[in-house]
Amino acid sequence: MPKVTIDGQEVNVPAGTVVVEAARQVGNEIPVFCYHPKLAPVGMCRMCLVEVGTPRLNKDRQVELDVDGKPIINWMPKFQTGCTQVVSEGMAIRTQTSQVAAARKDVLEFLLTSHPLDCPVCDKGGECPLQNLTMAYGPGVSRFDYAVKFHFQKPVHLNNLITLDRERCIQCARCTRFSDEIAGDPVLGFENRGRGMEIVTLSDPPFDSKFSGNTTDICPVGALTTRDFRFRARVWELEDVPSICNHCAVGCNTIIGQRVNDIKRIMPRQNESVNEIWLCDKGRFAHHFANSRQSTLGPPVPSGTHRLETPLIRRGGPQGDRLVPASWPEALKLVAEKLSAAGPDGVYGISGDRLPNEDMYLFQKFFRQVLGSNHLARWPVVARGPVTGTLFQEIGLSSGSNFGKMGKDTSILVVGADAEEEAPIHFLRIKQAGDRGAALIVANPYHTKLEKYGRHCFVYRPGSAAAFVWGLVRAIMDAGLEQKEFLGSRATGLAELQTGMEQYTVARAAELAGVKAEDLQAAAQTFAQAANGVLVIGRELLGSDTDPALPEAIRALLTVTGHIGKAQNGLLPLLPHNNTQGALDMGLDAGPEYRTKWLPGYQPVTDKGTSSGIPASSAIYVIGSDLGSESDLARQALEAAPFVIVQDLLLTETALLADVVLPAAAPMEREGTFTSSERRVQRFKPALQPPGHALPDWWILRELAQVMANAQDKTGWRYDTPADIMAEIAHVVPQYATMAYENLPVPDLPSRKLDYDDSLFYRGTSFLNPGGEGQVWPVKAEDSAVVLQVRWVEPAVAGQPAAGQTWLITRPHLYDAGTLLSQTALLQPQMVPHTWLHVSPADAARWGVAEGAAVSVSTGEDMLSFVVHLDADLPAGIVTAAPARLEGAAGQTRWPVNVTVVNAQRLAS
Amino acid sequence: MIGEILKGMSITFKTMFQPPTTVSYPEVKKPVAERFRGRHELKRYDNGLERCIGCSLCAAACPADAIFVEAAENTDEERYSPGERYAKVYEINMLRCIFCGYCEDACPTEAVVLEKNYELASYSRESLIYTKDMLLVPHPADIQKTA
Ligand code: SF4
Ligand code: SF4
Ligand code: SF4
Ligand code: SF4
Ligand code: FES
Repeated sequence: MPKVTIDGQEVNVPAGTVVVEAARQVGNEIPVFCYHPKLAPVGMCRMCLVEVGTPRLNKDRQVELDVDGKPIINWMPKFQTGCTQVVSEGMAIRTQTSQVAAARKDVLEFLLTSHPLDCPVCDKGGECPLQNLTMAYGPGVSRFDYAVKFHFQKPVHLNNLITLDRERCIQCARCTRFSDEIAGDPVLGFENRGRGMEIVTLSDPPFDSKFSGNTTDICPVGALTTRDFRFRARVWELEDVPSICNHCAVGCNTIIGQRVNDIKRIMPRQNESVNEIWLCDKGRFAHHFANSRQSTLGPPVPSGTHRLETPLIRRGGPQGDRLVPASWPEALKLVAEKLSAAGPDGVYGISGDRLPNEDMYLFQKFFRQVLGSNHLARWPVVARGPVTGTLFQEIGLSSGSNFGKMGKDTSILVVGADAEEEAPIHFLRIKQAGDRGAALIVANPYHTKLEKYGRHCFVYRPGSAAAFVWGLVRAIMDAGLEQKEFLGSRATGLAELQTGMEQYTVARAAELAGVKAEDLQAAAQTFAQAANGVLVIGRELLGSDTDPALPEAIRALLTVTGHIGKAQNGLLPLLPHNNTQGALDMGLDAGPEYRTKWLPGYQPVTDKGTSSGIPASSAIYVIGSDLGSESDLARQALEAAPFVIVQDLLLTETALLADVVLPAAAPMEREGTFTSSERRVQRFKPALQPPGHALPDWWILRELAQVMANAQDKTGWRYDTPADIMAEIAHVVPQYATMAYENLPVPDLPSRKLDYDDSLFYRGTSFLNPGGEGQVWPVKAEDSAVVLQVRWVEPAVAGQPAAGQTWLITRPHLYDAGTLLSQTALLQPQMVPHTWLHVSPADAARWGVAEGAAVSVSTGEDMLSFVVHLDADLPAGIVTAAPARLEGAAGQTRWPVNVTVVNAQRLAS
Repeated sequence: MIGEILKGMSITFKTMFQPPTTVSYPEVKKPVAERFRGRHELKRYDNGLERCIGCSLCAAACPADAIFVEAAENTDEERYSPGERYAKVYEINMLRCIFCGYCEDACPTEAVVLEKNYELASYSRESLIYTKDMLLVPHPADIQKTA
């Protein structure tokens, strides 16, 4: 730890620290533009100039002392850049001399010679480091004639999301370094030189990155701004509300910038355990569903999609049945009557997995207590198959894990997951861990972006994930790399496993999975020998029809390697929605056979219920899910049901099938908690007023329960706020015992309060998170008394795709054109419609089809129609489609499936 | 006693023959001082483009929180002001305004100016929220047409 003296103040800092960081530790702010703590230093802007000296050494290389016994310092003749100068023992730094002040002033004056007078119209104005540092250190007036400034035509749209104003750029290269180093999308670069130097995009489509919005946060001027926020408000006019992103299960911490009940922008809030200071573009821009309110009062049969503002009831009329607005008491009375009449066996509840924990808890409580029914399921069917909540709560990623801290001693194995598409910020952090030395092993049925950073990469046969994972287990056992000590005390069934696997050699596994045996062995060795190991699985492994051998293979792999039960180890499922984990925890689940599997907190269900499939004559209550647009099967069930209640934000296709539609408040319009796929429970605050008469889901359920419950039951339904519900959850769900609201603080940010502690680096670009980082509940394996049971189950391998065959598999996309995302017109160019069939160029040539051609494929049982979209990442013989399209398709239940092209629109000859 | 009455009456008679100081408002209006601060106007350039760029600096400066601005982007087809940005919504709540003139000071383009009009009475609160069309001075072309 070198000791350095900064303006007379001594401080010990780790070797390799740069001067600006060392100064920051003693509270000395050296101004910077290009330096950013998350990026490699480049020394481009010269704002951080300081005087640096080293102690003078005598002939014996001893530090010479002056008469006062102080070391004599040899001051370097020129200023040094504090962001690139690494400290050394005894170094002295002066930051407050008049020379340094003059240097700062001159650098700023120089930067401003080619800067336009845009502050009044610039979206960065008010939180702009250039403004702030000019106020603090710059000259009061300019000696430069405005007329001779260098002008560019403005603005340039780098892509459909990001706007560049070339005049404002100070050439700090933060944006290019972010894209290269952090996002792994080297798509920005500099062109020309001197005054004419400008940022250009090098990719086609332009600025092709899922993280492009972050460059606008770190750009120290208003050169990069978002199209979404462009001219929509001045930053000081916004009310900043801490929130949690509701688009995927990463659970990024956000700030919603709100003005006159309208979301103007979404910014990251720093959480070093979750999203650091980043957001993906979906989280940043896809908030328009909350504001889709063209009308103040819905027309009688609302057309198109705008927020529901009043309850709707289906009534007969001259033009037939139509949904007409009704009052809340009327709608609740009708629902209560119908549900009471239907009885416990005549009702079925389906919950989406985007709702906050409180709402899902009340929904299942409403069914189980008020209606006395266990007929509950969660939509979508993801994580309803063999790999499900019980496995996650047993061997999930241990509490205390943090991808931001993973490095050389860690191996991350990613199987059946396209992290960038399924959980972009997890992708970013896994990639970053790889950059720090963690060994990444990537295995998928197609190529993914993470492969660029993988030490071992595999493309296995579709459907052979279980075979692949068992192959790793066998290779580890063959090499004698299993953690014998750990296994001795923590596992049973090992001997049986060994006998069971006798016939299942590495060569056999390699053959089944279509990979090389040596590669499998090498990867197994890497994973087993790492001190810490994380297994990341994705949508492909979470399907409802995946191989029953999968959970056993996963448990066996993590158990034999001992990557279980301690921080930085365990299984991370990339769950499909922001609160899928919460839905599992709240006991809102059902197997593929639509039967409830457990109560809140994974407690066993005593009454198994009688249903198998959605019973045809049940009244169906759908809350927060548009299953009708995703699945033909669900649609048929809804059409057949005698009475359907849909509680949602928008008049979805599902809502159009309903008899009663109840308008619900969006997440940003109420308070609550979400549980991320790392099982981190995080609170968010309301930012907006709900439109019209819409109410939070928990409120609606409470009112309904009060209407229905008899006198003594009512006492159980006195919830005034979500805090009351969470207090009850803490009581009922053992995992949530410590998660009452008082233990889950969120910062109150009164009006616009940027904490400038970190201002030097993040100034105006990210919000600090003084409220803590949320709470992660521990998995069973963390209790050292728990013994894990390993078991051999033969993998059921899908048939071998032979030459000339085509296999259809599901594949998730970040910009999957679902109900909520479709409300954001800005993201239209990125969206992946459900009608697309992704086809490799080789297959397209074989079929004689081109981009945009209509094709019909037959699975043997079903005919599915698609539009061809070429995708170079796909191996020949594999075609993919959106999970929402396939998972609920009528009749067909098993993916992958061998398909044949029945009808293809040929290339125009 | 008589002396006092005569003294008082002498003043009365003296003033009786002087010209009156009251003006018969509203038939007669007195000119206001050069630096009087009355009702705001949003000015235009000579070519008719609006000076206001929707920067909200006036709103930020306003101690009474009387101004509300929402900006939008100019396009070549629909251009309101020079440059990229214009005020789509510009409102001043005249009930809140204290006529301090800070908005005028803050404006970087000299768009908002407190003019001489002080006749601002109205029958309803709503009508005292002055919108952009009320505040904006007429387009030079329109003035020519009417002249
Ligand atoms: S656009 Fe912004 S971040 Fe990029 S180089 Fe210019 S000033 Fe820096
Ligand atoms: S990674 Fe997920 S949680 Fe984070 S911003 Fe993107 S969609 Fe939201
Ligand atoms: S004159 Fe003063 S109080 Fe009135 S709008 Fe302007 S700044 Fe506000
Ligand atoms: S009147 Fe002036 S200060 Fe106010 S928004 Fe317009 S340009 Fe900005
Ligand atoms: S040169 Fe050091 S911060 Fe830019």
